Amino acid sequence: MWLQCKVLPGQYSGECAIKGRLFNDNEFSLFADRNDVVFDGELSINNPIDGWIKVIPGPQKDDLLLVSLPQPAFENGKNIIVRTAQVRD
Amino acid sequence: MILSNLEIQKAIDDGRLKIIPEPLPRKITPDQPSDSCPYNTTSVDLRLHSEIAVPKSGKYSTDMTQPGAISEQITKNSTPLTISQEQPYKLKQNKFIIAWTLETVELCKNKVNDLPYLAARIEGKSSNARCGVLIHFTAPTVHAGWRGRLTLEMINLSPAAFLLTPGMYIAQLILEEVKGEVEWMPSQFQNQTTATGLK
Repeated sequence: MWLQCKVLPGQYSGECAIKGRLFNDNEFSLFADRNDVVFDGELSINNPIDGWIKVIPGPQKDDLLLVSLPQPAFENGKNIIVRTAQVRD
Repeated sequence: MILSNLEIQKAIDDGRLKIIPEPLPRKITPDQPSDSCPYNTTSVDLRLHSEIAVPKSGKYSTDMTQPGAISEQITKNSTPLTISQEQPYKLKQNKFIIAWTLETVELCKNKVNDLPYLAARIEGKSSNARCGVLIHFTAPTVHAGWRGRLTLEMINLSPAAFLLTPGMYIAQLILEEVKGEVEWMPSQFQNQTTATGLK
């Protein structure tokens, strides 16, 4: 499963800086392996592009879904709550 | 329980531990001479990647009062550099940089032969420590299930500069067995891949 996110270059070529939104529109961010992220286009530090980060889905209630990120988010830890509209198979 | 060198190699063979590229040779013998062996009795050495990131000077490295994700702020506040044998990085006194291991480490989530999961700690090497070089501070833990390169937070406390060259042995990885089960996610949801498949 993939979670909507914004993608920027990471600190080295094998990683991306990721930022995204929780169910309540608060922000999460992390560094992720490039193999765990898909996006179209050229990464730019000043212009985040739309992308998707690989997540493992957990339990769902209504439109709220627990997902596990590939690495812990700085602000929130490894598991976060998002809305089902933010994910795709 | 800390794994011995032979147990580390067995964990690699079993697939519980992946280190790519695999540290070689596993031992040195007159039949298989080599300059060095990355295995100590209870650790395996890892090497320095060619990419490093040098934090920029400024007011704050991250500022939670300002918009922008932490990962974005950290990236914007550092300069990536690629080092080589011909152009090593001179780590001067009190200089702080971020670096990575050349090797990718994976502590597998899947149970192998019902053996315990593995966790690890990355530590410095005594030879570099004698030169005043720290390769991590506050964050040595490699959690069970980790997959990726290991980030090094490096600083040189010596009055003399320290040359960083890609491929040099920079850290040692100490493997430990985890007691008990790990809750990756609620168990009834393991192996589910779609939100619609969840109850």
